[in-house]
Amino acid sequence: MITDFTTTQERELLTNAARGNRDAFGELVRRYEKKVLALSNRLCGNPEDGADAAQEAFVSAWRGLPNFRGDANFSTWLYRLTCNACTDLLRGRQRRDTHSGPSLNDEEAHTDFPDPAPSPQEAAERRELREEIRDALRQLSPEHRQVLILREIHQLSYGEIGEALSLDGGTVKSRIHRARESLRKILIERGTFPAANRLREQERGAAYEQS
Amino acid sequence: MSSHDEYAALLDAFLDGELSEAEAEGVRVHLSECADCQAYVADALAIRDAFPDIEETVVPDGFAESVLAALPPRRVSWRAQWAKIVLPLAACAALVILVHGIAERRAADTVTMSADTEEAFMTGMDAGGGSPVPGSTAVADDADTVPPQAPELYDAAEAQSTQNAATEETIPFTMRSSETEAPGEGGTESVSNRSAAPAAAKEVPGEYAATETFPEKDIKTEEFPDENPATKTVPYEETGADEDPATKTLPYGETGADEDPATKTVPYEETRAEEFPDEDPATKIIPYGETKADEFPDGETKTESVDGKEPLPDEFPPKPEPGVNEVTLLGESGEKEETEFPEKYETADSLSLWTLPPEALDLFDDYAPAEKTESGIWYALTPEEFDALSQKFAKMGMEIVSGADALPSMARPGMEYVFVPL
Repeated sequence: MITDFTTTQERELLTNAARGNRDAFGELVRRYEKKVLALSNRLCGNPEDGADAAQEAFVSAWRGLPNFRGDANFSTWLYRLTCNACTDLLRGRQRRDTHSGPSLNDEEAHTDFPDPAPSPQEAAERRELREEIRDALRQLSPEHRQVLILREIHQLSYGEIGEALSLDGGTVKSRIHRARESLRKILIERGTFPAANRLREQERGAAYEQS
Repeated sequence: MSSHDEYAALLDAFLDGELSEAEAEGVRVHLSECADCQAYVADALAIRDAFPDIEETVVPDGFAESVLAALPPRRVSWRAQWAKIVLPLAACAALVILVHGIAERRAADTVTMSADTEEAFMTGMDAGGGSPVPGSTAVADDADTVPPQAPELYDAAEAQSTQNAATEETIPFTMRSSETEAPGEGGTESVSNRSAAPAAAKEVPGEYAATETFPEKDIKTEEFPDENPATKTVPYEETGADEDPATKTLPYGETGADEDPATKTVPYEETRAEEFPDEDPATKIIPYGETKADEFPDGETKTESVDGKEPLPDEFPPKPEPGVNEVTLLGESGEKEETEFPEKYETADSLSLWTLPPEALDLFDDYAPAEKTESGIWYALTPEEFDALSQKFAKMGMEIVSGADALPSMARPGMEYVFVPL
C-alpha cells in the first residue's frame, strides 16, 4: 500500500505554491504528473483526453491551493480534482462511443509487464486479460470505475478513496465489492477467465502468502 | 445470514488489506474450505494483476511546462483578500491603543475616575476580547486604513461621546471577529454601568476594524435573533466560501438524473442555494447591499442604551462601495496595493485577529512592561520612544492606532501608553 507522507520539503512547496510561486508549483506538477495521468487516462479513456483532464486538475489545484488546508493528503486532494476534471470533460464532450469508458489500451498499456521473467505465453495471456479488462471496465458505471482504478492502480486505502470521492467508508467498501463483482461477471460471461486459469492458480498461492 | 455470506462480504476488504488480523485469519480459514470464495479471490487477484502500474504511464513531453503555461494569474479569493485587509488592520488596532494625549486629557478631566470604576474599566476591557481599541473617540491615525465611511461613524460616536463626556467616560471599542453579536447594539456606555457586568461584555463583528464592546446587561435590546443582517454569521465550515468550485462534489442521489451521480461538479454559485437554503436564517450570509428592509422592518432591531442616548446605526460598519472604499496596504514586496473591500463578507472567525507578527512583537523587547493584564501588556513610552516605535511599525506596513479612552491604572501625564494584546 502506498502511503503518502507529506514531507517537509513538500509542505514547503505547497506553502510557496499557495503564495503564488510558480516554480514551486511546477515541482509539484512534476512530482505528481505520472500519478495524475495514470488516473485521468483511465477515467477518460484515452491519453489525449487524459492529458487535458490532468492539466485541468492541476490548474484547479493551482486555484485552490490557497484554500487547501491539508486536511487530506495533497495527493488525495489532487485525485479528487482529477476525478472531477475527468467527469466534467466527459460530460462536456458528450463522449463518443469509440472513446467512451476507461482505456487500458494506451501506448503504455502495451509495454512489457514488469514481471522479471514472464514466459512469452504468460505475457501474451496477461496482455489478453488486460485488454479484456479494459473492455469490461467500459461497461462499468463511472462510480464503480473510479473506485476500482483508485484502488487497483493508485492503491489508495478505503479511507483515502473516501476522501478523494467524498464517500463514507461503507459506501467505498460496497462500491468496490460491486465493482469487482460486476467486472468479474462480465469477464466470466466472456469466457476470459478460463484463459487466465493458470495465472489465477499462481496468484492464489501468492495471495495466501501476502495475507 | 450464513457463514459463507458473512465471509463473502469480507473478501474485498481481505484482498485490500482492510481487515484486522483476527478478521483476516477468519477469512483465511473460510477460504481453505470454500471453493466459491477461493474462485472469487483468485479472479479478483487476476484482475488486479492485469491492471497497469502507475510507472507504466507515459507522461507526454513537456506536460509540466504546458500546465505551467496554462496557469491563470493567481486570483486571490475574496476571503484571502479580506484576510489581507483584516489582519493588518487588526494588528494595528489590536496593537496599540490609546495613547496620544489621553493622559493629559485625562488629567485635565473634571471628572475623576474612581479607583473602583477604573478597575472595572480594565476588567471590562479584558472581558471584551482583550484590549481596548479605537472606539467612540478613537480614530485610526491613518485614514487609509479605515473605510472612508467609518470615520463618519466614529465622528458620530465621538460627538455622542463628547456629549457624555461631562459626566462619564466612554467605553472603548474592541475589535475582533465575533460570531454572535450585532453591531449597533447599544451605543456609548457609562463607566459606572460597566462596572456592573464587565464579564458580560458583548462584542460585535469586527469586519471593518472597529466594533464595540458593551456590558450586556446595560443594553436594552429587543431580541430578534438572527434578524439583524449584520449579525448573520455562519460557522466557517458551513459557509463554503473558500471552497474551490472544482472540488464541489455532490453525493450520489443529490444529482440530476442525467448527470454523473458519483462526482457531479457544480459551479460554486449553483451550490449555495442548495447548501444554504433561505429557510435557515441562522446560517445565511447576507452580503452588504442586501439587507432588505422587508426582512428587517423598522423597529425590529431597535436598540437603545439605558441612558436613552441614540444607538449607533444599525448598519455598522457601513456598506462598502466598490471603487470608493479602498484601503492602501503594503504588498508582500512592499509595493502599494489598492484593494477594494469585498462586496460581501462574513465573519472571519478563522482569522486570528489578535495575533501580531512575531517581528512586531519583537519591537517591544526594548521596553519594560508597565502593567500586565490577562489580555495584554501595557508599555509606557516617552514621546521620543513612541515616535521611534511608530516609525518602525510604519516600515513594517503597520501603524499604531491611537484613541480609545482606556488607560492603564498607573497612567500619568507625559507618557504614551501602548497596549499589546497577547
